[in-house]
Amino acid sequence: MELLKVEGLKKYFHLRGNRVVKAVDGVTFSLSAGEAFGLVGESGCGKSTVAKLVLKLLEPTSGRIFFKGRDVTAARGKELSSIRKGLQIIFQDPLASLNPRMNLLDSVGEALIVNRIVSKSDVKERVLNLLQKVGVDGEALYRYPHEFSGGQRQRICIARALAVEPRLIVADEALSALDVSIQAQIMNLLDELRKDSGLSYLFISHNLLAVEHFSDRVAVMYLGKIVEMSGTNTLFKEPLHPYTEALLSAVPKPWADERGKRIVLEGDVPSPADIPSGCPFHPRCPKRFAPCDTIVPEFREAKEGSFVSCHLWG
Amino acid sequence: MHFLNSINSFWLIYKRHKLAVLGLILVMLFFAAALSAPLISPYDPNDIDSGHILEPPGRGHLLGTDDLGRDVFSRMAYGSRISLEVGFVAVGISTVIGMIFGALAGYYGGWTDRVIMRFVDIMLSIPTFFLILAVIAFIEPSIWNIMIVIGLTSWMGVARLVRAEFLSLKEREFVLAARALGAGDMRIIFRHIMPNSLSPVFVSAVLGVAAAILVESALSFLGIGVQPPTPSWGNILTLGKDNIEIAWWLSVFPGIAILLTVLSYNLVGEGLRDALDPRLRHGRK
Repeated sequence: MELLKVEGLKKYFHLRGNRVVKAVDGVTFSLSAGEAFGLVGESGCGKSTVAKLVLKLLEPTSGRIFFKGRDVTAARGKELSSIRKGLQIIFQDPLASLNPRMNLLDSVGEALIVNRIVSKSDVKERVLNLLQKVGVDGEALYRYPHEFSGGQRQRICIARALAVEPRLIVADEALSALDVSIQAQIMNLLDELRKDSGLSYLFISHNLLAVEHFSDRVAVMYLGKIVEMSGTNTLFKEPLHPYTEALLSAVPKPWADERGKRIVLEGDVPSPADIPSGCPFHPRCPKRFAPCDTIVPEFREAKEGSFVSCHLWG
Repeated sequence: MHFLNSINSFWLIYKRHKLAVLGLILVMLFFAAALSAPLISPYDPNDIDSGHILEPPGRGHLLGTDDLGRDVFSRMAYGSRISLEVGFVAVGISTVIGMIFGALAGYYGGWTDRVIMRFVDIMLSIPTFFLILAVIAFIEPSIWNIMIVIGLTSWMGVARLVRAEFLSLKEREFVLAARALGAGDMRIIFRHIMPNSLSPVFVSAVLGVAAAILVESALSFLGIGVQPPTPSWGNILTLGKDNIEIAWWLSVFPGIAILLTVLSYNLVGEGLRDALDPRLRHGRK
């Protein structure tokens, strides 16, 4: 069954002078229990906005989000907090994600107290338990965020997210602020948690290698839209969309014979306040042809399990 | 341990600011004087002595006597209590009001924010001192009323500061994470945002004490603040003005006391601002 279903999600930010930033513009995907779904794209393509919308930290302009069949978008009050228990988020900067004036026990224990998961006297024990799960020394219980290393802080953030026993964790660039060796450790931790407790992940990253390693399926976002979505192996071996091809060609490869031709895109990502007509990628696309600058390509299944929005596959 | 650590690192930066250290010493001296007023005063501040009217500073009366023969040093010692009381209570009131309004405006935004901030603009557009004069004209000028009026007319700066802190803090990841974990608005405001927004409020409160002391002195000087015979630096100055040609000490000493107090609170405030600035803190280590 689908754990998370996102349908036609849109988030427009209104700027001064009637300008509208279409940060997320009609995103549809779904994620089944136990699955890790990768969401990749350049900075500013709307990945993080999708993360915040899924957790209802932002109100969508339109579209719907279902979690375990329950409508997140319409949920308020008790309904919302009960949904939120199943959904958690880990951010990019673990230092910014921890209240600098709360110690480890309070930070991790807060969720237990707020949601009345355990009685007050058992909070400490449960926190120790959670810390053990993520590999943080229990003796640090009364230390403050600035006293930990980046990797430890991210482990603490994971422990805090696990406190409510979620089914889905949204990892919003959760590895990007960490050293490469620490990235590997945290990724292994997330992998273990997935095997042990059947967690699902919405793994948001601009790091294609991490996404390839971690995800079962991948969606590529460009200017607020998903341009391609398919199984990880398929997508990395046979990308359909020219943008995906360009992204993949930019991944550094260790062996010379694996290096293909680097596709360098012309120009910059257009401002999301001023999205090009037709296919939003057409001004930078090396393979553009007649309909691209006028007709918006449909998002359709080009091959079994592979969806793309590109006129080449129309 | 964290608390002691942060006090320690705070002091390391604070003490680099020599004038602020001087200010802190002066503030503590005035505090000591106010607390020990009954001990250090050689006379009862309200003892009228017709034999020693307008005596210059000298052996019997350290800072001289006023036109009723009262000892100026004793009156000033007791007057420092009034100044500090007014300063702290007024600032307490304005800080609480400012924090509540600022927090509501910054956290909820939208209409709440617009209504509160326009009200702040209105309050700021009225010159505070004239507003106080107008209010005092209708109510009895007692020390408590003075404190309340000063407090009610000086919270706008705090509200703006707190609102600005809330606006930036409410978007921070740890606040979003708390919300995702199911923390309610009150918990987010009081446990997550408020404790992280206190530094500028603290600085502005210390500066506010100086401002409140100055306003109280001015009101008492004009005769609508602390009423005689209760001594205050301001109303001693009034007597000084009446006798300025024959008794310079009645103007000079309370004047110096007011000057030094206001100056020292301002110095402390500035030292705090530097010491609490996270940018300077991270530079250290």
